Amino acid sequence: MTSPAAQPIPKNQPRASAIQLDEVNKVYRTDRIETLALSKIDLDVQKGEFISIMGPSGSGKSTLLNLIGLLDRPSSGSILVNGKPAAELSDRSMARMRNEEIGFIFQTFHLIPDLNVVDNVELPLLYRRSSGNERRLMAEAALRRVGLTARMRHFPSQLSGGQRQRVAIARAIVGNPGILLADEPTGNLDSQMGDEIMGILEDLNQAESATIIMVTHDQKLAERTERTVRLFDGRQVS
Amino acid sequence: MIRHVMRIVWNRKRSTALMMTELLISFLVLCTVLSIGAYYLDNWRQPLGFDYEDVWSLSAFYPVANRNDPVERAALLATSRQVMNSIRSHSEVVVASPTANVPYSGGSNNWGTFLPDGTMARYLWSEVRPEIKEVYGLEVVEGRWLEDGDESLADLPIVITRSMGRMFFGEESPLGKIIPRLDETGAPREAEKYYHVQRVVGVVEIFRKSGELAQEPHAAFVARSLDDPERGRAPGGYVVRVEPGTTAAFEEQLISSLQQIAPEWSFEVEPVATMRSRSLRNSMMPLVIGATVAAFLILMVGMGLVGILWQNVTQRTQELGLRRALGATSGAVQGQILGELLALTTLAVGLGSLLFLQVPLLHFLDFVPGRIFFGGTFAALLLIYPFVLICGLYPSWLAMRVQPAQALQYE
Repeated sequence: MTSPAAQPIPKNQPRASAIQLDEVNKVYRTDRIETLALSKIDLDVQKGEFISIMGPSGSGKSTLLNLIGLLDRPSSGSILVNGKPAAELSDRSMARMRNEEIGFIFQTFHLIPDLNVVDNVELPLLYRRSSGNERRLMAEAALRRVGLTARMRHFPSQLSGGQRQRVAIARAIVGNPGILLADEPTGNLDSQMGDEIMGILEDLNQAESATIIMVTHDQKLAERTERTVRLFDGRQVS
Repeated sequence: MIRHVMRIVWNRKRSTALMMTELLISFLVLCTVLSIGAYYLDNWRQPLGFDYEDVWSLSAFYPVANRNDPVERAALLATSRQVMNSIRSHSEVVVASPTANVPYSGGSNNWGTFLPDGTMARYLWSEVRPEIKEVYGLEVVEGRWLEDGDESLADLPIVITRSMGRMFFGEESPLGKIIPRLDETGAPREAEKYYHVQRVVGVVEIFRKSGELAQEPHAAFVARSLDDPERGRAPGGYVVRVEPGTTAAFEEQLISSLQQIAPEWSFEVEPVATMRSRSLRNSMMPLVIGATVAAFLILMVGMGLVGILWQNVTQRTQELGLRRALGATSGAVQGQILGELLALTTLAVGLGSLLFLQVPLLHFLDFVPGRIFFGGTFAALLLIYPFVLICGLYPSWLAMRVQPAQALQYE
């Protein structure tokens, strides 16, 4: 992570907002049913902050993460990412923001099985102007960051779950985004592997001031973050 | 990005084998259809070498008891001379000549001999009167045309087409040369009773008896004797140049005048232009049927390709959603699908070209010039890419519409 936000920000210093949600609602409509997935969510995540989102299944955690990650648009309310109002962004601008300012880590890794580790990590860089050589160097640096340089030519099927998640983290950080969104990153891992992954995320947050929003079911992991947002039936309860 | 696309295609070679096969079949069908089309187009563009407007074909059918009986042969020749004179006597007739090789007619008279390498050389053998040059509007490009009296010379003067000259003598001028008479071992044949040495006296550019769509035959003209029973036979056909505007009524008039001279003979008259229309119609029919079948085949292959691509996009929903999440625009996702399709097409085209061009390289269809195959392959190359892009439009449009939030939900 060598972005302008790379210098650690002291925790007690006032910081600018990375994410701001104001009265955000998300309603899914079909011909017959209207489902309120999120209701009146207000959230302010500062740059360099590491927060967790908790809640039972169906409470709207992933929907909230999708909205923050500009993968979806809210039904009402406003979302600002690094000060830019999402409602005013075209699809192309949203794609660029996802590419340059946001990194995603998924529970099921979402690696492309037909690409080897380094090619998987390079993937976000394909959608911005960079040469093949630059891409390779950046991907190797990201893999070094997660301690996986020895497995660069391996395919996902040849890796353990923890290694796959480390590849996914390398892919998320390869483009130096300021914000990392992790959707249950340890959900498919045993406790030891989960601990390793959590360590990497903490390190990214502390050493490089990455803003991290992590969805988790694990209370212990949530306690390791700066604060926890709790959702229930689409509503923010804390 | 190109390297990434090629890598994906290569790494998925097993799962894309079916699509690759579809593309290979499409390309080979296109190569075949276009090469056949190029072959006939190339033939069509060659000059005919003769004029068929205001030229009529007259067929004579006569009873023969014993073809080798000199008395009967002499009698038939005498009647043929009268028939010839009668044809010429009509004011509507400009000029006429006997010939066994009437353009666009089904039958032909050929001569064959072996070449030094043991292959058989065949050429149209037209025994004619010198006037046929005027009937057809033939142009002599080298040497001279046939003359009265040529038929009696010891070395039979022969006028050949340029391609026939090349077949026997390469790039040398054939004038004054004798058409070799060899056996299958390439050795000169022993003297034959009725054989006369054929000495080339002239060259015409081309004479495509079977018309525009057929390949050029090698052809030779020699003077026919209607006087000498030893060297002449009663002709079975004539070509007649009539005055422009001569109506079909003259056909009846001509036949009845000939019937008076030879009551036991029967005659048929037909304008060569009519024979040409019929011949073209008959030649085009299998081509049209073949082209229709090929078009349906390509349509089927195209629909199959759309189906496979559709399935491919459906199976890759999660990957496409991931690409969108990582920053790909919907256009980039469409570009990914079409790019992979074009990469696969390039592989199929490369393999298909290698296979298809073996036909000319291994001389499988030697009568078709190699440039036809290369031209057909090139044209197929130009067509296959727009074809697969059209097939890929709908599946790639579906890929564009993949919503990342939904796609990434599926486990």
